[in-house]
Amino acid sequence: MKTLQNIDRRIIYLLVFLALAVPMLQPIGLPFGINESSQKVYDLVDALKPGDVLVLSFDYSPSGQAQLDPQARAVMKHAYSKEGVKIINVAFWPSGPLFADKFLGEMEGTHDKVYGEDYVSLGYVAGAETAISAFGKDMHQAYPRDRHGNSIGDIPMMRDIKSAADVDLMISFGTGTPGVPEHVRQIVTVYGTPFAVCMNSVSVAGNIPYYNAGQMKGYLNGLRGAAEYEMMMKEPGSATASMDSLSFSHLTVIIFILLGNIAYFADPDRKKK
Amino acid sequence: MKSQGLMIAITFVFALIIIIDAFFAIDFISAASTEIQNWGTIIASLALALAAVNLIRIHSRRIRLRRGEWYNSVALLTVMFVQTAIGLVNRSTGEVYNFGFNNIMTPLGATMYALLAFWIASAAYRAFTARSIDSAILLVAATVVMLGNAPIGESIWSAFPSIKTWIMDVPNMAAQRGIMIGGGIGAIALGLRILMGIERGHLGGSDE
Repeated sequence: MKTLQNIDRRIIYLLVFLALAVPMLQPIGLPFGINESSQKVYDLVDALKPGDVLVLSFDYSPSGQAQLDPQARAVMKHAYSKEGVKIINVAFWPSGPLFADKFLGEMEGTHDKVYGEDYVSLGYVAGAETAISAFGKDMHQAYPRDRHGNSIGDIPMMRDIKSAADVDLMISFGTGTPGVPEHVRQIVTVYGTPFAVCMNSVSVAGNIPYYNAGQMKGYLNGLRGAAEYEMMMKEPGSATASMDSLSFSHLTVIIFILLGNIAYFADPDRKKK
Repeated sequence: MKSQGLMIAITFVFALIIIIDAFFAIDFISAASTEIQNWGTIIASLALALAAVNLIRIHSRRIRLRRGEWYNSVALLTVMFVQTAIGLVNRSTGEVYNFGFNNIMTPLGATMYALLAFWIASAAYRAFTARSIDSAILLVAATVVMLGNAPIGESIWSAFPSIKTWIMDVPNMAAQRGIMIGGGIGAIALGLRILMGIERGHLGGSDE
């Protein structure tokens, strides 16, 4: 029992590492269902018609990329495959535009959208919630130029898109502040714009009231959400491949919690402590 | 003190314009509100520059005085200047700037976050014990949510996802809503205090 009470942390680290790495090298392919919230995000993107406007807001930093990158990659692939849909890429986090650029680079040649006519990258604007509000109210004033320095008035697709009221769907890839509450307060409540979120797992518990209140029409929950989206697109990718690692790492943590409790209750001195 | 009075008056007028614009559709108020919000984004950009200046001051001083682990400050300032110079010459859309971001910043940031998996496992083993009824409830809820979220949970028992959904949608949401409503009321109260000039912390002075 003494051994159980004092497992060296390096052994724990090693077992967690193995639980993450081995399934990556030898996938088992454990089955998983599609959550209703993920299905709703897919349906919202899939229901976009020619002429509809979609805003993709990249509100995360490198620390969130393990969960958010696969989500963004899958959603963007789906959105850019929708004929005639106008897409605006924005960011309210400084590193956001660099992620958008990365995915656009990866997708080059896989879609027939033309920059300026079908999609545009507006880049980052500082100011957090104030910036979101300014963007929703008047995109042309909040972003006088796009990410490449073109005047927004000269971009053909932006001529008729002025405010969040002209947007048919907004999706935020977010991990913190500004994030869901700020978008709900400044965009959803004011303009009634349909809104969906792709977030990391740790943010779900705090943002779930917005989903149940109907302010958030759907959400992707971390890496699992990304894997579900890939499965709905019938294109399994990096997130689907990581599901076994997720399972075994969770299981390892649970086993250590159990061991910790067994050691605690088996300790005859615990009442004295 | 005169300048504080002026600041309070400006805060009051600007806030009033934003509040009126939120509730009524009046053209000139809407135009003024848009302008104020655009000023907000410009001020925020300047604040970022100010933060950079502050960072340089603090770390330059640390290097000059050779304070503990001052070499980390050298690394920080070097990377900051190099990446800024690349951004100014190559722009943030350029290949060189993106190379630095994708191959240095992104892996480092992701690694720092990923290390949590190891610390959480170790911390959970040492600290996550059912010492009381409260901690036992927390422990069971956390375990079920973890199993409900991972595919292996479904394979062990198909009811795990449903139980997880109930935990998230009922007790979790009740608590989150309570926190949100409480926070919202607090924000309204704080906003009113600032508008009335009772709260002056943001002006750099005391409440008096």
